[in-house]
Amino acid sequence: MKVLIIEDEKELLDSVVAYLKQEGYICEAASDFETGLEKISLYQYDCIIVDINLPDGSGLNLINHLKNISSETGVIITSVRRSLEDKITGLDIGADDYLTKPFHLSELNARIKSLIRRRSYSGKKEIVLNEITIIPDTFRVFVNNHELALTKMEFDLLMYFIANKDRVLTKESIAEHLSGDNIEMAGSFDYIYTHIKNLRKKILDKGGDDYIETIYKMGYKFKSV
Amino acid sequence: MKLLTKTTALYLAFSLLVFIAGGLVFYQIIKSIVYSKVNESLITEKRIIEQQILHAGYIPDFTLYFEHQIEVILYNYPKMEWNTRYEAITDTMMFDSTENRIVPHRHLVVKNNTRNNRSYSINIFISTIDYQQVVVDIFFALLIMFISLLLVLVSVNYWISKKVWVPFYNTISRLSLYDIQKNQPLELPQANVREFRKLNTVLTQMSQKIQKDFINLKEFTEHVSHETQTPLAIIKSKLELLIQTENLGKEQMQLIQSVYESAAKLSRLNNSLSLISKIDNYQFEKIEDVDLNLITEKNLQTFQALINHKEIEIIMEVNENKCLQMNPDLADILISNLIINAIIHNIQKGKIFINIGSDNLLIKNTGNDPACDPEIFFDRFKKARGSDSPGLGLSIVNKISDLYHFHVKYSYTEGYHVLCLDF
Repeated sequence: MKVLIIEDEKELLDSVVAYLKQEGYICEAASDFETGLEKISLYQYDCIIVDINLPDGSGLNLINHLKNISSETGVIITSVRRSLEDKITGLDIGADDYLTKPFHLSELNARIKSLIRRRSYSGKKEIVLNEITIIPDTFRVFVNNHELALTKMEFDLLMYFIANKDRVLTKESIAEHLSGDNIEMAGSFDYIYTHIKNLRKKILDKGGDDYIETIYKMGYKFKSV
Repeated sequence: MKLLTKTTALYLAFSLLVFIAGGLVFYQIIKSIVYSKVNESLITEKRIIEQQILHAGYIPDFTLYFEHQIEVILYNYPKMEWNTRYEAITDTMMFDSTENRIVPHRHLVVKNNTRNNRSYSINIFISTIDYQQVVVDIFFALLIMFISLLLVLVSVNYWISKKVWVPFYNTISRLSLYDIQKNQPLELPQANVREFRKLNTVLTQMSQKIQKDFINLKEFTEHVSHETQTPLAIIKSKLELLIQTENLGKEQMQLIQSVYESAAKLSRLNNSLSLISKIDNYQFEKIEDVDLNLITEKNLQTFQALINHKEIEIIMEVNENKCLQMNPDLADILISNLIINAIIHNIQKGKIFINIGSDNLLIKNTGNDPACDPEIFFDRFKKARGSDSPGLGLSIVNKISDLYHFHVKYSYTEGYHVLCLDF
């Protein structure tokens, strides 16, 4: 899986690359428009993550260029908050997803996974993790071949956990994933505990393992082994 | 009190004072002139009579010559007490036959012994009623003149002042219309009076300076919030990487957690400040028809998990499908802030009433008494004690409301926080 990240802020770029590398992606980085353009023209990527506001050009032009040569590549654009215009233009010209900055690395990871899954026509439509099987298209989950009755929130939660399995997820990132960016203003994320508790219980009830580990004060971790 | 009224009143008061003082002095002068005139005639008459007595030795009938009362008594013996000549002029009241009443008189009295062992007394009375009448007449004539002069002067002064102060009033009306937020220079009309010209110049310079400072401050806030965003994003991403490290102890996790939480808080604060400065800079130009009902439902959906967690009951009443002409992003921020506010400052198993009317939105929620003036929550960084939020939520609500001339009212009554937004 080859991913190109175009982001002008060096430190941020490094963080994204480091996180995604741990996920097993082959990551390439570009910190300006020119390098980005060069890489897009020379190589084939499964997914590119592009910042709209680059110092020497607009990320939107990069997307235009990319769409002219290869429509197979998935595109996620990143941009500062509340620039609805950018979002609409970006999605119009063929971007697949939009992420407001600052974003959680785990959220970006989940978006990439979901994007790649949607785009792979050949690949299987199921996610299997030990005794858990998920069919994302129909929102169905099976544990030991018994179907789980999950709420929308619990399903989203499970998908997020599985996308970031064996990673520590902060409460804030989980809350934002479940309820959107606005929830951040509330400043209180304790409510996710109830949903996590219910999800854990439902998996255990069907004979599944106890996957969800509480990381003291920080958040939660979905252990795959 | 108006400047013109004040100067006119003062002018009148001082004029009256001067008039009264002047009148008194004038009265005294006329009176002393009259007295000296009367005294003069008294002394002349006395001299004539005395000469008659001393030379002729008898008393002729003076009343024929002088048309007032004269009493002369001649004694053929000297009077002891008159050895030294006695002469005095006094004021007295006497019956006047022509006036047929008691009127003031000047009275001259002389008592004396002659050298040829006789004695005499002279009493001459001159009525001063006519003179006093003259004094009063003159006084009234002057009074009328004085008053008319005063009236003319005051009205002329009023008219002149009004004309002269026109540039001043112009300046004031321009100043009162001046709004620093609008970023338009203060334009003052040309004045042809030096002082007013100076005033206008000083005011223009001052407004330019304030405007410059204001813009600088705004830009500063904007830049600060923009420039801190990236480092904050980096801190958060690095921390996210850090917590993935294997074998982190509980202690380290706790340290990282508090750094992370502070960074998150700072990031929220920063977002709010940057939003406020964007609103201040009119960066939300796009205006659309925003369905208030729809946006409220959407936000309730967003916060559903939070609402469920607190077991809050939502009672929504829509009287009208209200559409607002405003920026859709700002409408979303406005409503989400109001709803978050109602959730956060609510109690467990509380209630939120939302009422959408034709010209207002009312959000009422159960909650603890804020124990302070609710109006302060619209100021930046003002919050109820113990609150963990940076206290910018309602300040943002206020900013957006100001921008679209909505009127926000906040009150706490009978256990309910009531926020009313009048469109």
